[in-house]
Amino acid sequence: MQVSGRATLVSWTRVHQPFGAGFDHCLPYFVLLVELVEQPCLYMVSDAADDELDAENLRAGLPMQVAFLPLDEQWTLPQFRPAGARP
Amino acid sequence: MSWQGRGKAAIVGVGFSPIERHAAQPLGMFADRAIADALEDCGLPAAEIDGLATYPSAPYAGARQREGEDVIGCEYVISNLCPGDVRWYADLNGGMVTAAIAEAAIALISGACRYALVWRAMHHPAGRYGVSRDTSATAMRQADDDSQFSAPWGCTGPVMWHALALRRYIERYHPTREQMATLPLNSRRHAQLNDHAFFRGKPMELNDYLSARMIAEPLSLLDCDVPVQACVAFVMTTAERAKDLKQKPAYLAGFATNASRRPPLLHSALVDHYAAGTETASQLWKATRMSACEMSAAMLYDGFAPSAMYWLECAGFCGPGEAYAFAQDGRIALGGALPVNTFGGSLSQGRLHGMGHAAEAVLQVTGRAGARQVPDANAVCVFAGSPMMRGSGIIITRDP
Repeated sequence: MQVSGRATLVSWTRVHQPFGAGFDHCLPYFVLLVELVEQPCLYMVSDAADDELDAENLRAGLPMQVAFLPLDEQWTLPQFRPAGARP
Repeated sequence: MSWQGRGKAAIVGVGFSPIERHAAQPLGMFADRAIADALEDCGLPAAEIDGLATYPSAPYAGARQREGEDVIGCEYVISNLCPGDVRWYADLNGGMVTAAIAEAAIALISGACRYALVWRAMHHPAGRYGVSRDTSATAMRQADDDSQFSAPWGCTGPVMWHALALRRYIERYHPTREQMATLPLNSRRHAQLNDHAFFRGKPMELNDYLSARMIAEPLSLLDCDVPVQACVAFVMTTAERAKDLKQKPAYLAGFATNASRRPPLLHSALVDHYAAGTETASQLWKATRMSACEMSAAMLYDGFAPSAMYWLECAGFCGPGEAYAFAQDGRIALGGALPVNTFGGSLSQGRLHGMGHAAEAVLQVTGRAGARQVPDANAVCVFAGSPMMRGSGIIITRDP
């Protein structure tokens, strides 16, 4: 099944404690839980750097849009950002 | 369906090891101490033990499973701590230690054994817990279990699932930070009355809570339980045999080991919290033919503080979204209408995965809780595990 890449924000947290070696250098960071528009409870996880989002503007139901962001030369991760925001 | 075994099995002895952080001694010595303490408590010779049950799993993902060091399963107790002939044993894979207590009761009532040991031993070495994955290409290729759907985005452990759920709850019901402080403060005050509490002698004030460093917003350090090394053990037997032992028995009125379909861990939307936890509570009330209003006190799992609040709602002590308001005005304190976690909870006693909760229920209904005794305590419910992960429950009563 193809999905559109559109989603809504379910919840979010800003992580301050180092839990994973790959994230220790970028604390704090956001973890986002989104629900794809195609199906209820079809969730995906995303992350964002602290300066990419304003916590004041995050609300359940906020429209989100996928962006494919390269992690390194080999890997690309789907990431969700508020719809309309620049990736 | 009500449980036919009500009042036929009892906890007759309770034993504690020291509760330490980053212990120098191996876990086996803590188990030895707790089991010896439980046997001495009821005056039963170790050789009489012929049944064993525990929920032995290591308390964090990725932990090693060395018997006697990381975990204490039945094999370790049979080999090292149990001189008699064991006829029945159970190492449970799920359901927390409350389910092991229920299993032991079933075995005792059926005649599979006569005297059973039930324990929970926890090993937390120094260092970080939770999945710790690099996002390098190599590490990501290796993330082939469920974590492949969350670890690459830095979502690596229970504290984050709980943070996501609590954020959702806050958006819906708007508890204040001061209201969120109530349970941790209440538990810390109770811990000052408990010799078996890690944070005895270390009081907490509102400002300590409000200024605690964030772990994963909105959860701060003081919303998280304290990882300890410790063991707590019970001796259990039938109501009939219990009469010949030293202590007053604490009877098992019934249990709930919710086996409904379990929501995936990341489905931390509140609807799942309530679905699973409410089902567990409903099973417990049916099994015991008791209701929330009959409870003298409640021991509610608090690995993360909000879990205990969700249990208040799931168990029907208050309505959905009402827990933080319910907890105000001393209602969950000693002397209040529903004392909660009178021993300090996992937040202030230490992370014992529900065994500390069960032990307190026993001490309360047998009148052995000392300075934190709830007057006329005759029925105490215990919910272990987060309602998000179903959990399990028992009710302990003073009378059979």
